[in-house]
Amino acid sequence: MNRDRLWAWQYRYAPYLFVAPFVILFCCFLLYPLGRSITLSFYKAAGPKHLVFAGFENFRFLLLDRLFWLAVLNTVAFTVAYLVLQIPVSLGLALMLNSKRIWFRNFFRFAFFSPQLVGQVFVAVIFGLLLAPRHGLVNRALGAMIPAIGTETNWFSARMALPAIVLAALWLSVGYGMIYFLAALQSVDRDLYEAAEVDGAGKWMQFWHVTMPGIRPVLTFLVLVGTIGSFQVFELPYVLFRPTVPPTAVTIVMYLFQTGFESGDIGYASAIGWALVLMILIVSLIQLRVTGLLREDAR
Amino acid sequence: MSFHLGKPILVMLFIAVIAGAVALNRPNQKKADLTLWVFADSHYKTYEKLVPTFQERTGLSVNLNLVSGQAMDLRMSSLFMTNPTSEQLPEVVEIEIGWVGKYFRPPVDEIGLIPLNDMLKESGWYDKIIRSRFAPWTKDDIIFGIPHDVHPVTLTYRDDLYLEAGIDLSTVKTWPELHEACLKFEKHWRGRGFRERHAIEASTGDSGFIQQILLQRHINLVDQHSKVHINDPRVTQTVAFYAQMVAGPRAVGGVSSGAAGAPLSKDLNDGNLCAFMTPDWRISIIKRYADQVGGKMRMMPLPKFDPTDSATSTWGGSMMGITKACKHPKDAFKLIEFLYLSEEGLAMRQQSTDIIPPLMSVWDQPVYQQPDPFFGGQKGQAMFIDLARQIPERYTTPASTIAGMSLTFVLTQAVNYVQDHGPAGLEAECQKMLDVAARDLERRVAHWKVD
Repeated sequence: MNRDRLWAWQYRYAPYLFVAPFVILFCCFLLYPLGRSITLSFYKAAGPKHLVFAGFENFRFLLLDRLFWLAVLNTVAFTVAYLVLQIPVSLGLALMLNSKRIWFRNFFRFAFFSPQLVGQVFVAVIFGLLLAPRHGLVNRALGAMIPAIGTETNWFSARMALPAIVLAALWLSVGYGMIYFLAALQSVDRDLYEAAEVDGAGKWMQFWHVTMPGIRPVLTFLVLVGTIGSFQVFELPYVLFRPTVPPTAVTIVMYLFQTGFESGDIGYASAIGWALVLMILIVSLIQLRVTGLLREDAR
Repeated sequence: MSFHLGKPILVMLFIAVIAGAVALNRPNQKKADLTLWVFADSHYKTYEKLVPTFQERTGLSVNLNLVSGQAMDLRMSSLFMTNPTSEQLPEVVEIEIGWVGKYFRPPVDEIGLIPLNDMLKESGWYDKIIRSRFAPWTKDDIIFGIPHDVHPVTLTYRDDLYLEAGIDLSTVKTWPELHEACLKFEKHWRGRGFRERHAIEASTGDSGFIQQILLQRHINLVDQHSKVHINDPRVTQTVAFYAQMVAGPRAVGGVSSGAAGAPLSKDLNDGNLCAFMTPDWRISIIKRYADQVGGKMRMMPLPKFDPTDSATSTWGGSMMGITKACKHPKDAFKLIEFLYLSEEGLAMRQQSTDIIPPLMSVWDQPVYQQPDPFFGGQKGQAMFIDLARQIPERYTTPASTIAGMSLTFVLTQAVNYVQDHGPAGLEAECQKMLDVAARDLERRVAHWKVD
């Protein structure tokens, strides 16, 4: 092969070689498992040689599976409660820590963001201790402040499971939302505030007509990411409530895990996984439509 | 020296080259004759001391590994589902009772473990091990594991605090009597300002307690033939009884604040929880954490609902099985025999835990007849052995986990009912909920059938 042909060869194929590692990894660890899980969702699996085509039977079973719908209900309840609290609290914190009147702003920013660094499992372990009956810090504080409640609130019971997960999830993620809002707040044009002030707008009017439109893309992003994350929540309740998970704490992914890895029904677990994908897709599309981002993108 | 992509990239490249070179030149580990995976730390520590003797006697090398339970379960599940003869599987594996149901999903000839009936019969162990303990490890009469334990359950309690409340708990024979005694206990201590003192450890969200009583009543939620019993009238009676024990005006149960560590220690030593369902494996935990109440604790057989009920239940368990990846099953069987059933193995277990072996032939040995000062001189192990003879059969099926979930769901609804409406009409309500759960489980079992 002469030198010119070698150069021509490398000119043509070098880009493929550069992208090959990504493409190979993507195909092996994402595309193939995804494709395989679609196939599996149409099969009943009971061992290495027992794979029986079942058509839509797994999906039909899912439609009438009350434990699955309980998990969906729990997940939706968690998502709503979490977003309704997380977004305003994150925004409030960001507004506070964006103010020059607050001392040690950087320290507080780091302090509020730091739970995000340790992850869901660690937070679940910590909250397992904080919420323990009688000896947990939360129950001790409740008992001291409101003696009628006492120190024995069972946060791990069916009635209190949702507040317990939401509390832990908020502690974990409020700082994360705050960082995004801070970045958005700092990018809002200062001149707009001055112009609004000249027009006689008060603080509330400035917030509503200047700040909110300025941070709207970030707000939409956080709601979208928060919704997707909440629909996929697993580690937090799984670790927090093990070994006895109350029925009100079973999320869709937990139910998927229990079905696939504790009962060994891989086919049905795959069907649950794809039902979850569909649900997230629908909810995300609705959100994008409601917030008008789809139309803006189209323009 | 300069590098046009910057120093960080240069450092990362350097690290990658060094790490790659080390990984490529790493000497291959010599594979042992037998690899054993264990998930329980206490078991690992016992076997660690026994393995050198086994190696010396047989000339076989053993690679003993302590693997996290969750990781091991997932690994085994995926390998059993894809390639049960994979070299990545160990030859011998210790399996927990909660995992085995899903390994039994395939037909018996496709299960990832080797049938042990012949080896057990040839060696004579089949007649020496208590028969009911093979039940969890058996599918269609094929035994896939040698049981490590029996795990009979007693009721342990703070005798001093019960006596102070004017109750001799050892005279209690039935569950309703126990409930009355607990009510009297709580009334006594509440009147003296002890708001955190509870008669018995029992939680509103855990159906485990109910499942213990159901086994005592010889009910498996799903039996070995995948028949569903969750709506048996005795299940209804038990759920309704338990719901009133933990919720509503006659509640007596207190929730445990931790399975181990300082919270459990405080609960035990302060007398926050005063009675427990206690299998033999839990004795050493209680002794470790209730160090200040030695001599004040007592144990008794479980109360009953009906005279035909067993005086005990069974809670937890593990076994050792031989995987299909094993090329020399007889050597693997020798290892299990040595660790579980040999004199050395039993002596080592006796030193480190209170878990009694399933081997009936050793139950009469004097070592199991010693008085236990922690339980005021009661012969604790002798009581466990006496109860072990009456152990109910517990079956494990792929539906067992989901059945437990369904029962917890019904319990939650029953607890809500008691809290909102009181006990009137509870049993009828429970029956309705359990009927729905039974239909759901039957539908699920039918859906799983692939033959």
